[in-house]
Amino acid sequence: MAYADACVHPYPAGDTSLPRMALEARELGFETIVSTGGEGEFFGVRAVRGVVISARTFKDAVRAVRQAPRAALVAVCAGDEGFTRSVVALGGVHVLKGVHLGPKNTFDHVAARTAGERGVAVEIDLAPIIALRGRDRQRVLARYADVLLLHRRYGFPLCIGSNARSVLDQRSVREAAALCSLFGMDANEADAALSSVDGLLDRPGTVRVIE
Amino acid sequence: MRPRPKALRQKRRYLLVRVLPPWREVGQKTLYLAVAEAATSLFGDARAAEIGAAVVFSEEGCAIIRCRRGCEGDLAVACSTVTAAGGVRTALRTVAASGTIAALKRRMDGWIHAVPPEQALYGEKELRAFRYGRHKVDVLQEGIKKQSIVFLTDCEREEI
Repeated sequence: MAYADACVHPYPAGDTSLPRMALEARELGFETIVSTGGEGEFFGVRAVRGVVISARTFKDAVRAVRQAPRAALVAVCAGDEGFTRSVVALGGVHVLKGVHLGPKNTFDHVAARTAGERGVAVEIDLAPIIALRGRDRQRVLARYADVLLLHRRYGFPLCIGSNARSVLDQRSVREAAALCSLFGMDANEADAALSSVDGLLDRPGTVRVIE
Repeated sequence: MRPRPKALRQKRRYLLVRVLPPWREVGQKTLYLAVAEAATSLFGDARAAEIGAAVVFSEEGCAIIRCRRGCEGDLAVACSTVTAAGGVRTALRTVAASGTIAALKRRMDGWIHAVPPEQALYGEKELRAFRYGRHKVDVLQEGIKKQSIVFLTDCEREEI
């Protein structure tokens, strides 16, 4: 099973070069990383280009998704309820990011059903579980537990990303699964989530509007 | 003090962890405080007391952490949430768990530890760099206010 880290931010967004992140990822048990800064193959690890879209309005999101490179994994940051519902229905979006950042009903059952139908994955970001403390972390864990409940009901894919900006933020496959167990994810679900990126990249093509 | 009979002693497990970056010296007490803080904030006081984490060995980028038998999984999760030790950015990577310290020390025998810093030329700048592993190079950048580290591989030589 090819495990993938769904999002890393190498230099200049972080303090680690992409080859070093790939080298570290290999030691940690990953075969693929999705990088927001560059692509290629380093030390036997495939770095896939990732595009993170953080748009204020749905119109901006549509424009940004259209401009994204074809081979890239497109992730859109969640917003309010209406925005998220629209984004998961948008062709060309692979991943919904940052569900822990928005208001409580950011990702509801309607968005979950649409994500399940369209094969849009929801990203489990490990960075807040690692870095936050106290109430903030409790809130994130509760949100992920809610996402997991919806995942079990509607069957949309999950992916796990470290969102590392440094080698010090990267975590191994086993550590990622253990961190996910904090909000009730079992080993099989963690395995599936860690290996979902290839499936997202090979998803049947969406219709692209050419102007 | 007379030691307790073996049957009355608590069963222990030991975790071998790598301390990153390996060239930075982290004291045993500093490491213990970081692990204890991480365990307490993640599992609460009651579970942290049950885990009973203690750093029994810390040297050259690796450490051995003791816990109660059955709690090694929780301790490994707590270790993965450590982001700093003594105010310095640090990461702990769990490598192995064992019932004896000797077994973990045997495992450490083949490890390559960090070498002393060397001067490396990046672009036009001469910077202090630490090489370890086969390809890893950590470059220290001295700023006006603080020092920062850039993590690279030995095949990158362009300007940072």
